[in-house]
Formats: sequence, structure tokens, C-alpha cells
Amino acid sequence: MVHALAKIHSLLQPTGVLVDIHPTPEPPAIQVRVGSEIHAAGWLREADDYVEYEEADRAIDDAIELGMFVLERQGQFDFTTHAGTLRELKDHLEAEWQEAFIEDTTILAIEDLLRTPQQDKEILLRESVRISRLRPLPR
Amino acid sequence: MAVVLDPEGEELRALAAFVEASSGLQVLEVGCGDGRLTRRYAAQVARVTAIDPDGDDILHAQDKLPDELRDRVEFQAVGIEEYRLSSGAPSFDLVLLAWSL
Repeated sequence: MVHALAKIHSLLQPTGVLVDIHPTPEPPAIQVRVGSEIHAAGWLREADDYVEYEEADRAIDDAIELGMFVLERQGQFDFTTHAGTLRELKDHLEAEWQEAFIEDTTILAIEDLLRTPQQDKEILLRESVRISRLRPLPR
Repeated sequence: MAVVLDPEGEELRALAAFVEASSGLQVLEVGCGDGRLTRRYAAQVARVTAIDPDGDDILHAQDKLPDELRDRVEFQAVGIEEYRLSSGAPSFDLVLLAWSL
């Protein structure tokens, strides 16, 4: 990953910036919205426990330590995926996020929350995402 | 309903807050996937070179690109390590690593 950042450094104008966006290593929350109320159902698990996001954080830290970049600004935002049914969410994960899985207890909680007669309901997958702005230093 | 990603627009809002708006920006997007994010910001910059090593994703990205963005977005099926500039000189004002490090 640090090699990739070194390559990026060589492609940037001296006045340019690198903006990195990647999720934090915390598991995304799964919620069910019923009308205006949002209920917690559980967490999305991943086979490797989101280790790649920790590695991404480390790569940024290493690039700063090596004097390639200086961190100008960092923040966080929520990236929310909306699904109408559990089937839709599972299909989406199968297509886009093969390492992720939903534990049985969370599935039961989702099904229970969706059982309401209320029509206005959906499943929310809420990922916490970090955004960083880095300025290249002269080499 | 189909699955909808970030209808709140939080990702684009954060990006706009972290990059000074300029219609002259030359952007390299690394790991663009199927161009989901590319399509959302490309109209605001001068030119985007969007790369990803997955050739299928790049084909999808090209298919989904609206006609009005075709003159300013170029997709290439290549990873960052293999990517080569045609001129050899640093040329990007912004490199965007979106969900790809």
C-alpha cells in the first residue's frame, strides 16, 4: 500500500492533493427504519474482521512518517445503504461484498422488526467512513 | 425498492468539503470500480482519469457513463502500480483514493 502511495506522490502536481476515502475498521451497523423510528438490529460481520481498513490506516500513517505527505484534514461521515427487504440486502452483499455476512441473531432481529404492519419500512446498513486530505511534500 | 447507496449524498458532501471547488481540476481516481462515485463528481472538474485493475468493472463504468461526461472522463483497466503517464511529468491536481487503499 505504501508503494501505491509513493506512486501517487509521483503523479501529483506539487500543489496537488490526495484525498483518501475508506471505511473505519468498526463493523457497520444494521438498522431497521419503521416510519420515523430507527431500531438497531445488529452489525455486519466480515470474514477478516475488516483488517484491510486497519492496513489502509497504517499505510497512510507510514506515508506521513516517511515524509511523503502531510495530513491537512481528516473527518468522518456515514455512508448508508438502503434496502427494502432482507433478500435485497443479501443479494447486494453477495454481489458487492463477498467477505461480509449477517449473523443469525441479526437476521432474526431484522425479520422481527420488519414484521410490523407498517408499510413505510426499510433496512439500513450504516458504514462509518473516514476521509483524509493529504498534501505531498517535496522529495 | 432496489438497493440504494447513500441517497443522503453524504459522500459527495464530504468530498466537496475536502476539495477546493475548481472547474479546472485534473483528477486521477484510483480504484474507481464501476464508476459509481466518478459519475457523481465528474461534471464539477475538468478531466478525470479513472483507473481500476478489474476489466469487467471498467466495462460497466464505461457503459454507465452518461453521454455528457464522455468528453471529460477516461476509464482505464489498470492498477496504480502499472499506471503510466503519457507525458512522464506529474500532472494531477487531485488523486482520489475512494474505497480502494
